[in-house]
Amino acid sequence: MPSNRSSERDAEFVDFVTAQRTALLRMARLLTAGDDASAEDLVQTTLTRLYVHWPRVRRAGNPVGYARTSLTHAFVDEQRRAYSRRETPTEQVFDSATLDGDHDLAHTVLAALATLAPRQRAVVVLRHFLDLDVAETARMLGCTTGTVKSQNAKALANLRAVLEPAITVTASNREPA
Amino acid sequence: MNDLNVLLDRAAGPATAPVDARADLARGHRALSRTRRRRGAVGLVGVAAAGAMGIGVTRALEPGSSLAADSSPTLQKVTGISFLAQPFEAGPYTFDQTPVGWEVQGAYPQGVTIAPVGFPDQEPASFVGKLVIMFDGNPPFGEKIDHDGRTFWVSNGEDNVATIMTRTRRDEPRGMVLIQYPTDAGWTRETMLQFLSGVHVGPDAEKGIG
Repeated sequence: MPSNRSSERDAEFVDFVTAQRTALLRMARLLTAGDDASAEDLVQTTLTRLYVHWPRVRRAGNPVGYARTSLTHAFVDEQRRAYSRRETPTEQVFDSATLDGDHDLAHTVLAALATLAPRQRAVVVLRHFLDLDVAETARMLGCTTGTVKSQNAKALANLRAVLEPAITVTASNREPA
Repeated sequence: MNDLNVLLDRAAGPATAPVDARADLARGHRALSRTRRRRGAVGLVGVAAAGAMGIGVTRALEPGSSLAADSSPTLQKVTGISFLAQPFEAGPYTFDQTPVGWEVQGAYPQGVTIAPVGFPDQEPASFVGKLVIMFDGNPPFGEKIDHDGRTFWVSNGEDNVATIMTRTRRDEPRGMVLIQYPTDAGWTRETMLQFLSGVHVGPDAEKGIG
């Protein structure tokens, strides 16, 4: 029979999953550049780790931050192993005439993200999707703020090179890249 | 002009979707069970050797036994738990003193399980009601306490369980040595501080997972 503490842990975890799973899956979808199966794997891995360490997560008082960091690390670790074997279409250019509605736009943006190195993609997602500042992004990635800035600049340049002129990209973060 | 945040928001997919947390909870349960089994399973290898040592410790520490009465080490009592100033080894771990009425159930590179003498649950991989000494690579957490020139962290956990930890000594493998202990078996923060102060981590110790 589960103890009250175990039941409490389960109840808290279920509440967290119910509230945050979709957001984590969206983040994972961008990190994996639209690879839904890999995104689901990342989220499952993250949530499983979260449950195992739930007492620590609770004490830290920021389960969302813990989950985002764990998800980012899981992604970087996985991509580090796989990236060297993967070919990416770095010269792909999109034609605005072929873009038709949100679905195509999403597909195009995901394809552009796929051209980025994993860490550059992670920086883009953390900075421009989650709207984290440079310091927080650096903390989550375990690197310096200078590295975040340089990776961000390269990533934006790459995205513009791939997407423009079909899509003009602007970045409106609180801080300069 | 397209703001990148808007583009990413669209590319990320729908912001709302039905969520069924049961599968995630089931995966969490399985992973937690695996983690707990893994922590203890290696101990099965060392149980035979450690068990023999445990019997010796038990005999030496039973208050009414002739061995305890005859033994030269001094008996020291701190609230609820008595210690005998008699060192013992369990796997790669050395203890400066032994708690009277407790015995080693399992010793392995990742840690040691110590239980009350005659404890119904003799499975070393089961930790409820027992002391679990572990070598760990995770950062410390809990209330910070200075004791005997070292820093300790104490944290109350779930199911009447608390954790106390400290950094290993300079001449020991680098990491944290911690004890998970029941708070309803006579152990107090003071007795735990005293006991953990006397734990030494040998070079063959391995950091546990979790």
